[in-house]
Order: sequence, then structure tokens, then C-alpha cells
Amino acid sequence: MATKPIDSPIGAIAPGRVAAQRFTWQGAVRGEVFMTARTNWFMGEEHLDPAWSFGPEGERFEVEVTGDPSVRVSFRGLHPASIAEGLERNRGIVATAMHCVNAIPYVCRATPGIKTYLDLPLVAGRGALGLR
Amino acid sequence: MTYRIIQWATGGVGRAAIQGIVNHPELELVGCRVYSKKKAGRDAGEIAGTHALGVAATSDVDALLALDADCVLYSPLMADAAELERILRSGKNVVTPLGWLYPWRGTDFAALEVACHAARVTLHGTGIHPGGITERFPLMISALSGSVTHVRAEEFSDIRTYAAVEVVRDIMLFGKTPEEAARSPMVSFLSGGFFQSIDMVAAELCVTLDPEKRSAATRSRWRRSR
Repeated sequence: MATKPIDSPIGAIAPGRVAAQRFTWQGAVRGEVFMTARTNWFMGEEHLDPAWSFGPEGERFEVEVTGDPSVRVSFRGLHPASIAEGLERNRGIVATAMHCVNAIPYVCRATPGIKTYLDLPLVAGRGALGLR
Repeated sequence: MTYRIIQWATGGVGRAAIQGIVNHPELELVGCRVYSKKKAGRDAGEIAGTHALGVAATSDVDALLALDADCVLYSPLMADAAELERILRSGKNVVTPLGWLYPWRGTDFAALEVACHAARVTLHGTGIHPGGITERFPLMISALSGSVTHVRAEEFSDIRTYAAVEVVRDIMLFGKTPEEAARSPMVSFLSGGFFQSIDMVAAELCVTLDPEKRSAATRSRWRRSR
């Protein structure tokens, strides 16, 4: 129970102040939601009112396609193991950087213009230096 | 074939990108754009925490644009479309995590598309969320399914691990009252990217979306003591 300000990387946060935010973006067809993108950004899962949580699977990215059949994929490993690790070298930031780096050879070989995932061939990473 | 790369900015993404470029068999770092006097002149590898690379970081944009390079990895804190256009017109491909995922509804895409064709180069926007989780992976996974009625991409993150404390405090307005935080520009700031991702998924799945998209923010507070 928070009886006094709780410490966070942005300083002490007093009870009653915002500690978790959920942002949602949606596109619909004739008013029925077809696609939902959402971020759940919480300062931990304790002391929250309403009592939001990440659920038993914890921090992750999740992709779900509802159809025939419905498919759900959970991405683990893109979150740091601790707050200290995240502030030093955040795995989500590293993944963002690698997604850019790994695209470069394919982009350099592409025809001119703005090119999306739908235009470029499959982008892959590369094996570690010692394995070549 | 080795491609010659300029890393534009050395924040969290830029430093990790330099590490990635160094370890990539087809890439070589040849230039590095920095924004602070403190970093200018330092070795890019030293800034990124790798071994010395013999590439001095610089804030001299003209000198960087004059370099013979194949691609710029453009990752400053905020994108500058005019600067991006200059980079493209200097004959360099650009990969960026700052937008242009599916920019056909945007206001700046026409000028950038023209610049790409004039200089015979390519611009590619990517990232993680948006820029991967939000559209690339949903599109791939949808190939296993038919009669799709809903697509969801969702992130569950402890924001205390995000090192950009200014963004968390001054833009997302964590730590403020709910009334103050409701004035955060964060949702609309991010809408451009997320709505592009939604447009990309819908278009490829042959779904015609209503013209109006929705965004919303809900908040939870530290629980008050009794």
C-alpha cells in the first residue's frame, strides 16, 4: 500500500498521480473494430488504481489474428530483465536498431522510391561473427 | 558486397545500431552524425561502446552528405522531413525507425517519393511497435488464417525501464494528476505511426476501413493510502 511517494526513474511519484497509461488505436469497418493497436505502459504492477496488471505472461508483445483459424503469438525477450538493465541497454531499443540494420542490404538493393514491408523481400538477421 | 553506412544520431537506437553494423558481414560504418559538442570528434565506436572504428563523429551535416555512402540509418529523437529529403537527394538510401512505414496518406510523402526517384534511392520506415509488431508480424501470421475479422497488436511494458526520462515525465506526463496527464500529446504524437500500420494491414487484407480512426487513453494512479 502506497503511504508515501514511490520512487521511479523520473523521481518520486505521489499517491493519486498517474503511474500507468494504456493507449489504443483502432480502425473499424462500418463501426465494427477490425484492428486494434495498444500499448500498456505501467510503472510496475503494484499499487495501481484501477489494479491493472500484465497478466500471468508478464511483459511482452502480442499479436493476434482472429479468423479461421485464430492465431496468437507472444514475443518474449524484447524486454529488459531489470529496470537497471533497461536504463543501460534496453532490449526493445536494440531490437528496433537491429530491425533497421538488418533491412539495410535489402533497401540498398531495392528499386527507387518509398518501400514498405510489402515491397521488400524477407529481411533476416545475420549469424555471429565467429560462425562464418 | 559491402555497403557503406552513416549512422545519424547516437542515442539508444544509434549506439545499438553501430554495434549491429560492426557485427554485420555486409555493412561498414563510414560516418556518424552527433548533435552535441561533447560527442563531436570522438570515435563512433567509442561512443557506441565497441572498439575504435576510425570514424570520427561529427555535427557537420554538409561533410556527411558529401561522403560516399550507400545508406543512412536515420534515428534522431525527432524526424525532420526537410533534412530527410536532403539526405535522400544526396544519393543515399535511408532506413529509419521514425515513421514512413506506409506513408501514402501523409503530407510529406510526395516530396520524399520525388526525392527518392530523382536521386534513385530508397526510403524505408521500420521499428518495433509500430514498425514490426504492429504490421509486419500480423501480416505474416495472417497467412496461416482465412476470413480474418480482427487483428490485434499489443505491448505490455514496464515504462520504468525506458531510459528517455524526459519523454516519460514531460511528454507522457507520468507522475502528473490524471487531469494534467489527459493533456499529454503522446497519443496524437504516436497516432501517425500506428494509423499507418493499421492502414497497411487493412489494405493488404483487402479490408476497407471507415475513414475515421479512433484513439483513446486510459490511466491508472498510484493507490492512495487510507
